[in-house]
This record gives sequence, structure tokens and C-alpha cells, in this order.
Amino acid sequence: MKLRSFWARFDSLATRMTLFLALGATLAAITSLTLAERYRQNQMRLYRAERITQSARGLVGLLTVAPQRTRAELAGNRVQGAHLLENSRAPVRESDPAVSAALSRAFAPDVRAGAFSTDPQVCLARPVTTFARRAAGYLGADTECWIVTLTFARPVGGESELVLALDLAALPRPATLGLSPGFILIVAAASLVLSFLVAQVTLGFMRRLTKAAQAFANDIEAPPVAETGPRDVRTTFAAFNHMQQRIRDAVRDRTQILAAITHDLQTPLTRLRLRLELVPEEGLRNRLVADIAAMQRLVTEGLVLARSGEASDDWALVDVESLLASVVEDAADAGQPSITLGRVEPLEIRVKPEALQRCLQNLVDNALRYGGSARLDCTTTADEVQIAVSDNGPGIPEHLLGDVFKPFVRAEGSRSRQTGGTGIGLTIARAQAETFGGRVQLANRPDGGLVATIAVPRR
Amino acid sequence: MTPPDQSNQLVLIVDDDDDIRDLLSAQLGRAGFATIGAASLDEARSALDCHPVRVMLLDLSLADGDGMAFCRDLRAEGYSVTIMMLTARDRAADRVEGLEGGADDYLTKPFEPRELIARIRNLLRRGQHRDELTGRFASFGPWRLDLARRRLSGPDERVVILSTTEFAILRRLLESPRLELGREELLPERKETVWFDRSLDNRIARLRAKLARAEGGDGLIVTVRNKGFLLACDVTYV
Ligand SMILES: Nc1ncnc2c1ncn2[C@@H]1O[C@H](COP(=O)(O)OP(=O)(O)O)[C@@H](O)[C@H]1O
Ligand SMILES: [Mg+2]
Repeated sequence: MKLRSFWARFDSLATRMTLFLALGATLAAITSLTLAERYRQNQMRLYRAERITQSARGLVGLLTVAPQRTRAELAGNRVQGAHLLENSRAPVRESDPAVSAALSRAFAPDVRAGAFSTDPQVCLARPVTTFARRAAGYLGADTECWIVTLTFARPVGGESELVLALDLAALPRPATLGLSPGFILIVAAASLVLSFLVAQVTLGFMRRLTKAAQAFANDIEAPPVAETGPRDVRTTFAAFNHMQQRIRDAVRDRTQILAAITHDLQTPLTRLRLRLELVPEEGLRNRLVADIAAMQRLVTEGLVLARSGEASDDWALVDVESLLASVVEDAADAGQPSITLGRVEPLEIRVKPEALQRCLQNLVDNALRYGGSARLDCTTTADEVQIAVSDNGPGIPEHLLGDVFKPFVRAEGSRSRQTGGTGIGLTIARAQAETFGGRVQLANRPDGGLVATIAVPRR
Repeated sequence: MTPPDQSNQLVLIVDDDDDIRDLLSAQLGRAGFATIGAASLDEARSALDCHPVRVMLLDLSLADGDGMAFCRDLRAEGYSVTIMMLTARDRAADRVEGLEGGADDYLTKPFEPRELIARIRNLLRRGQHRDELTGRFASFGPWRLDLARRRLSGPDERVVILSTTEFAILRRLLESPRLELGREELLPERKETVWFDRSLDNRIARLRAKLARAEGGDGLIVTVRNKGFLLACDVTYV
């Protein structure tokens, strides 16, 4: 359950972008900081090697120039930071290739040099050293003691080997700031905030695109997206607008062809209809009139379907009761007494009135034609107003409920029954409902008959 | 059935299809109208200038121009002939444009011949004061009757739908404001069918209920004892 909800949250580009960016930024910050510390540490080691070498060279120089005095001074601990290591054993703590390299660079080839660091006590144990260091303000713990062994090819100051103990300030302990929880927390929080902002900016454009696409899906005449923002975003929007225009043009072309055909058909149909008035035999005339009416219906319904994407009507607040009552009255006036008004909640809905009228009319026509009766109800749910047209007819086989919305699909039976339908009544009904955001649904009623519902979102 | 003053009224048929002109002419002749034909806008204009035309049936797509523009020009020049557009253009928007351009009625092809004749009679009946009667909307009380879309618009984009008969009754009442109208006069096109008095009363009652849905909309239709009904407010066309 918890995992589910986590996945649900993670299933958004915004969250993923934020998380990945924040994670990446945090890792990058930690890594770069660690690397920087390594580098500094390295520099310090080179510096230490240089200092050790310089000390050793200085002492060797002094021994060469004034062997006696230097010896005496070293033995008396009067040289700051260095003394001779005689006899006392020093444990090896650490050797540093940088130090060995610097020493051999400075002394080769006459002198062989080796160095290792040892217990600081080796340097500090001498009383004078301790006092001198204290006087100089050193703190005991921060001392390193390096033992440098120099073996001379030609004896210097009478010595062929010299073991020096050099004390120097210890290198700062390798800092591990990059891995300290406080640091990670701060970096992570900062990158989270940043990533969130970046994601918002990026997705702002995507949201605009989504909104535009939805608007276009609902209304083919939707206005284009404003082409503002950075260049690549503008390009995307321009491409979208171009696509929208192309689709609109294609649909318009198709509609125009259909309109032209219809228009040209209407002249001969008009002639035919007028000529029929000259047919003396009434039975024949009536049948011919019905035939022409059927042709006419096919032509105009095809046109209505083609045009249903066009927003021809304005939005208005329609009084539902007046609409349903007018449909009932018109049907009754046309000789259909089996249509009744059921329960109607008094309310107004925001729709395109003409589209709703046509949609409802088609559903009522079907109920009367196939179900033999029609009852109109209007009820509300939390977020929808539902206009229902119910009949007591045979209904539609469940597996065909979705198909009958397709153009020219008619349920078995009505094809042979010669009911004069075109098979696009429901297609039109659905398309008309979509122009105002409505949905048309069919269901078989448990006690027989069909119920067709127009659901209009409440706003 | 036809009121005597309507016979021999001259109807001008403007259509570029010869057959349709002839067929219409025969049809209208049988209904008691005199007709002349015009195959183009030019011919139509000279016919209007030379003959006492009462009603012009105007096709919109003609060889030498568009009927919409022609209608607008005629109105601008002060012609007051009754114009009925008779066209294959069946969009609501075309109907709106036609009525806004000064047409008195709009019928799409193909049509029921009987419907055409009923409408012409209807137009002739109110033809006398047509100057004040054109426009897309008839405005009365708090309401506007949308003549193109056949529905009532109230304040703040509210819309009340009327049945066909309610529209016809209301339209008739609006044509003669503050005049008593008899029961027969209110449903002239349907006089052939049987009309029970109760039925008219029911319809008027429903119409009243619909009109009362806007503030100031009640009491607009007044019952005149033993006579019929009357619209108790003024009507302007916009
Ligand atoms: N109320 C209904 N009861 C039973 N069948 C129906 C009903 N409404 C529609 N149908 C079936 O759905 C088919 C498609 O309906 P429609 O799209 O309106 O086309 P048409 O009515 O012109 O055939 C109809 O042919 C009919 O078989
Ligand atoms: Mg149908």
C-alpha cells in the first residue's frame, strides 16, 4: 500500500526530475569537495617534503662549514626543530615517497638519503626541545617527528652517516567534510530546492502544452498556444500550433467537400420535392415524399456530423426544464403521445444550447423509433447533471453498446426493419455533446428498455 | 381559409434554376398568388423597380452575386419589400446572418411546399408594418426572442428553450403588441388541425411560466375575456 502510493507519487516527471537532479547535485558536491581535499592534502605533503629536505640540507651545509660548532649546537639541543638521533631507537610510523623523492633530488648522487616519520615523543622527549617549543607557542599534539638518515660517500664533518630527527608542525588531519552528515544535509536540501525550481520551470512549459492539447481535443477551433518563452520552447509551441492548423485545415477541407456535395444535392432534391406535388395519386406521392425525406436526412445528417467540430453556437445558461418540456411538446405535436416528462430538477447548465438540443433530439428520436416510448428525466450527481432518455423497447445487445456510436453502425434488426434511419444519429449525438464537454452513454435498463444519458459537467 | 387581402399578391421568385422557378411559380399559383421570376440579381432589381412586389423569395447563391449582400444593399437603399431567403445554406450562422441582414424569414431547401405557403401568408399578414419588425432579436420586457435560433434569451446569458408552437404563439403576440388577438389568430398555420381551446390555454400557461422565470417577466401575456390574449408591453427589434 505504502509502496503503491510512493510509486504513484514517483510516477510524475516533476518528482523524478526533482529527485534525480537533487541526488546528482548532492553526489557531485560531495565528490568534488572530497577531490579538492585530496588535492590540498597532496600539496601539503609536497610542502612537508620540501621543508624536511631544506632542513636536512641546511644542517649538512652547516656541518660542512663548521663541523665542530654545529655538532656542539645539535648535541646541546640549541638548533630549533632538529637534533641528532643517537642510539635511541625510533619506531617507523609512516614513510612518504614524496619525502624520499625530494631528498634524493636534493642530495644525489653523493649522499644516500632515507626518511620516515616516527613517534613525536622521539623529538619532544628532550627537555629543552619541549620548553623551546612551548615558548614558541606550539601545541604538543600537532607535531610530527621525521627521522632522516643520510649516508655520505665522502665523510662530512668527520661523519659518514648522519641520523637527524626533525620536528615540524603536523599536516592537518585529512578533513572528511564531504562525508559529514550536516554537510550532506545542507547540500541535499539546497539541491532539492534548486531541482524543484528547475522542474517547475521545465514543466511549466509542458503544462501549457498539455492544456493547449486538451483544449484542442475539446474544440477544434481552440486558439493557438502563445509562442512565448525560450527559443526551444517557442519552437515546440510553434510546431504544435502548426499541427493544430494543419488538422483544422484538413477537417475544414473535408467539411467543405461534404458541404459542396450537399449543396449541389439540395437543388435536385428541391426540384423533386416540388414536382411531387404534381403526382395525382396520393398514396404514391406520400411514399415518394417519404423517400425524399430519407435521402434528405442522410445528406443533412452527414453535413451536421462533419460540422459538429465547429463551434457555431455560443455558450449559454440553459434552463433544463424548458428544454425537456419543449422536446416533449414538439414530439407530442408531431403525433407522438408516448413521450413523457419524468422527474426534472429545476436547474440551469452551461452548454451550447443548439448542440444540446440536437443531441437530445437524436436520443429521443431513437427512443421513440426503437423503444416505442420515451421518458425524459434530469438528475444531478456531485459533479454532473444527467439528462436521461429512457424507453421500454428491446434495448441494444450489450456487445453492441459501444459500436452503435460509430457512423453507419446499426444494430441487427433495425437494418432489416426499414426504419429509415441513417446510422449516424448517435454519432452526431456524441459529437454534439462533446462540443460542450458532455458525454453520451447508453445502458440497458434492468427492467427492459434502453436508457441514453447525456452527462454535463457542473461548473 | 385564405384571407381575401392575400390573394393576387405579387411574389417575386429569385432563383437561377429555371425548373425551380417554374415549379415554385406553379405551386404558388395554385395557392392563389401571382408570381414573376428573376434568374439573377440584376433581373430581381429591375423587377422590384417595375412591379408592385409584396414578397421576394431570394436564393442566396446566384450567378451575378450573393443574395446576402443583395438583401443588405436593398435595405440600405430603403426597399421595404418583404424578403424571404430560400436557400440550401442550412447553418444556424447563415440564418443569423440572413435575419441580421434584413431578411424577414429564412427557409432552407428542400422544404415542404405547404410550409412555404404558410410562411408567405404569415409574412403577408404582418407585412404592413415591416419596417419596425426586422432584426435578429425581438426585445420585450426582460426578454429577447432570438428569431434566428428560436429561443428566449434572458438577462445574463440565460436561455429558455421554446417549443415550436410556443415560439409561433409568442412570435405572433410580439408582432402585434398591445393588440387583442383571437384564439384563431394565435395559431394560424395550424388551423387545419384540430385545436381544442384547452390546448391553447395550456400552451399560454406554459409560456407564461417560462416568461415569469426572469424578474419582471410575469404578467406579460394578458387574457382578454371572451376574446383571446394580448401582449402587455412594447417590442423593439435589434
Ligand atoms: N432506444 C433504442 N433502443 C434500441 N435500439 C436502439 C436505440 N437507440 C439506438 N438503437 C440502435 O442503435 C442504432 C444506431 O442508432 P443511430 O446512430 O441513431 O442510427 P439510426 O437511428 O439512424 O439507425 C440503431 O440502428 C438501433 O439499432
Ligand atoms: Mg437514430
